Amino acid sequence: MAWIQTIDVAEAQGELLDTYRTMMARPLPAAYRPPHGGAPGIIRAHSLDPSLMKAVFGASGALHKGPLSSAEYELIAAVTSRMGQCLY
Amino acid sequence: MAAQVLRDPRGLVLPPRERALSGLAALLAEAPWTLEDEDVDRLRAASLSDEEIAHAVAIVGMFSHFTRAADATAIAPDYTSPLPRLEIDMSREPLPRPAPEDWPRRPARLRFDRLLPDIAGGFARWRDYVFTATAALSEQDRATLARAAAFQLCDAGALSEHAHASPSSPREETLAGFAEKLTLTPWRMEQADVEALRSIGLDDRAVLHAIAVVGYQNQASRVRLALG
Repeated sequence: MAWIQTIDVAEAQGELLDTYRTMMARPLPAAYRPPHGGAPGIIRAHSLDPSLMKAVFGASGALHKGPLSSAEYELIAAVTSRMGQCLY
Repeated sequence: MAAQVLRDPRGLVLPPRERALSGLAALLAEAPWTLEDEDVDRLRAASLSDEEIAHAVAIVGMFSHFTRAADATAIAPDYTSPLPRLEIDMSREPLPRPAPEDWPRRPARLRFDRLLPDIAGGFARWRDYVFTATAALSEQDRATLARAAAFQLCDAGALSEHAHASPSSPREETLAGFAEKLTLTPWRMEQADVEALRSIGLDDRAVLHAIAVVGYQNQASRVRLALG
């Protein structure tokens, strides 16, 4: 149970639902789609403010179009996460 | 390789280019104020272009936010992974920070906005939203959170941007304490840290905004310390 309220796709309405639909329509590697079928937790964590969600994931979406390969991207992300001892 | 990252991210056995990238990520994640010109030269010697170096720095920045958003909200890991669960060392201390007079102050190394204009534009829109005052948090609240995070990252430039935001009330002390802990030891975040924000009147949306300011600043200070 997260420490703040989150709203998943199934309960979303209005701007949040539109934002989720836009984000879920983006091409995503299969590894980024959780088996529960809803939005990944890191996206859901931003769900109390759809405009914040758009700002953050707009930036991360741009980051996927940079010059490094996907494998290099994942290596950097994994090392960063590991250095911060982040379970997620 | 992923299992190696879990075990020992500093001891990865990799080709030179990947070793240079993982070394940059480890350094920038843990001690961004220590990055020297020689570190950038080593990346170039490993065949990385300035655009690729800027991209790598931006990825570290982005995940400096994502990991803190995850740690401060306690969202459950929900991706399928064949890897063993990470064992968290709760006793691990952050590296000691240098005194402010010893923080890096150097001219820009690389121009992020010129090298990667689309990514820099996305990051600028992210900043604009995070620092826009709303009913959730005032401009002063946001500056207090950003200053406290930037101080722990030894980011003299951000500190001067938020020079007016030293905590001067119990409310601001609470916000600054939250930002410091989430910056220094995100692995030790607990529900009590969120409750502390609620005790000064923040609702869930305002807590999310507080996390977003700290996460953004953890990105921005790392990018500034690496690239200028």
